[in-house]
Amino acid sequence: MVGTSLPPTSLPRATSLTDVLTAPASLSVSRDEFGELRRDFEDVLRTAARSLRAGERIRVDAYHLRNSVSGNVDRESPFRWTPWTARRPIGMECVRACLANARLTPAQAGHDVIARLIRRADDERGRHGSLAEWLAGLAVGGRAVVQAEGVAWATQLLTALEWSKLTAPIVGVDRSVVLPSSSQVLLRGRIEVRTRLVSPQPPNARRTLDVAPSVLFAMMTGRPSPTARTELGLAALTVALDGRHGDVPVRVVGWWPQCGRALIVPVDLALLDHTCQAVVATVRAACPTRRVQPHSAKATDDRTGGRDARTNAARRAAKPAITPAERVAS
Amino acid sequence: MTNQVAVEAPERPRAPHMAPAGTEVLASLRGDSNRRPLVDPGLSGGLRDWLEDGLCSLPLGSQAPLIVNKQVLRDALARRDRRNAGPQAITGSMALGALMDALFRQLVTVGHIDDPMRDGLDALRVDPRRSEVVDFVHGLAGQELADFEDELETQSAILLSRWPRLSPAWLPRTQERIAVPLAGGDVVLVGVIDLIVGAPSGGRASVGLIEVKSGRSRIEDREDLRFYALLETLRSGAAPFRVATFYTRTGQVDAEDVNDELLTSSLQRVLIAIGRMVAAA
Repeated sequence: MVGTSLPPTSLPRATSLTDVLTAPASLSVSRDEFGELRRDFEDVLRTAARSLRAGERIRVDAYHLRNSVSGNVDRESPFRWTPWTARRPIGMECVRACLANARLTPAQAGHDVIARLIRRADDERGRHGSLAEWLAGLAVGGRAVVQAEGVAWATQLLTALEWSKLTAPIVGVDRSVVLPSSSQVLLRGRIEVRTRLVSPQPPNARRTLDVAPSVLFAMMTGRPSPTARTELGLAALTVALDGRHGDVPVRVVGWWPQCGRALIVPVDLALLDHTCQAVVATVRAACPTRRVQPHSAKATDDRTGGRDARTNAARRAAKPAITPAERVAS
Repeated sequence: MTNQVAVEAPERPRAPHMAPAGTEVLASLRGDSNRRPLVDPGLSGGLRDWLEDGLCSLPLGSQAPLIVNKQVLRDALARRDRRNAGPQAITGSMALGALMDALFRQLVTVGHIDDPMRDGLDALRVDPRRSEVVDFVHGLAGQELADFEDELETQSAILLSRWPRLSPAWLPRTQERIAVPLAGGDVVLVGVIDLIVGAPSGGRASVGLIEVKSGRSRIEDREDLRFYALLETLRSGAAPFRVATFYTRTGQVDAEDVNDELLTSSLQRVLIAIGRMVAAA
């Protein structure tokens, strides 16, 4: 079991979660530090991705990371809309609507969102496989299940935080990143809320901030798994890699409403490095028969134009992605 | 929703005795709002510690976690061993329960039921895990089908006439799942609650749990809800103020306030059941 129960004596929970999310950060990763890690990561990822077949693309998200680390080799079934895959996008729309209009409740917002999606289905005629098209094809009973799931999800997120205490929160900020050096690999980070810390800024003197540092909030399903820390690390990594913002978040808070547990993860170099290793391992696992040898110093030399032996990331990639120390009971 | 009675012609309360617009049911769900207790901030942690202490002496396996839900608890306490029994065959009462469960959810969510059989089956069709129930209903014919439809329509009518329209401000959410891991994840207490109302506690008990049953009232129904009250307390840090079962067969509500004794008795029941399960393994 991994995860930190919030203090049981502290109610409401939203106050505790908001406090840990927005607490001043004691450390942060500078751009220079992240830049170096990024170069190493891109080198190793490029090598790992070479073993993919031409034209093949793989997606690395929290689900794939978890399966890769835990050795779950179940064949992945193709995506299809169900009430459970639809609950998050619908719930997210509900939360946005409720934050924009304080008098709106999740139930009312859920009704509006479903109605809007069904109307949109007419406009999207021909866009096969969309959520709107799927919903429009359901009868009343099926739509009610979808709406109920979305409302339950939205209520969980809305009641998880004290929104008035957050600085410019953005709801639903998933990140998809394709690195130029490894265009066959799509990294996907799932993030429910991104907000910014107000003063004081991290006391890291090397860091030059043009904006206040960001923190991330991810609402997860079920209970924390041993890979939870890495899954949250992926959310931070994708934001850091996304060139549009150029900002390394200082913290990720994972929240599992089904069991009332939270995991507070400061974003430091160790976390990002560890997450990079897990991503590389996942890419390698996607093509086991063509796996490259991570210890090939020659290959690394070729890549880097004779740079000193292997990169840090290459050396670290040879280690297990999850260390026993991570399996700590809370 | 659990049902263990056969589908049969029930005795129904006559319409004139039913309170208008579900006010009686609403009052039962609310209880006395002046008596809602302050949350004991140490209770949840104490209950968790008690459970952990009870489990640490058991030789729990290191493989798959022991998943404990209300049915597993009932079986263990009745010393029924269903580990090798295989999947349970669908019965008429199970199918009725699944459909009423879906219709209740639809009523709470969208506020109406158009055609009970059609709406209920449409709801079950979007859940691949319910395909056996859908197949069972499609396999009914003749008098069996007529009796089934008659019962479904009767219970739907009772639901529509008795169930109150809840204020959206109560934040009603249906089929909410709770999973409380214990003993480092070796044991997971799980439940799916038909309806939860109320915002999370800010210091005073504020959440109510409601289950819907299509069968006759049974003594175990209260134990199910007490187990859910324990789960909610462990999850949220605050005990719910009230738990209630709504019977779609009669339109009646069985409700009770939640207190420390109720929670500790449920906790002891859980520990006894898990002890028996581990001993039998």
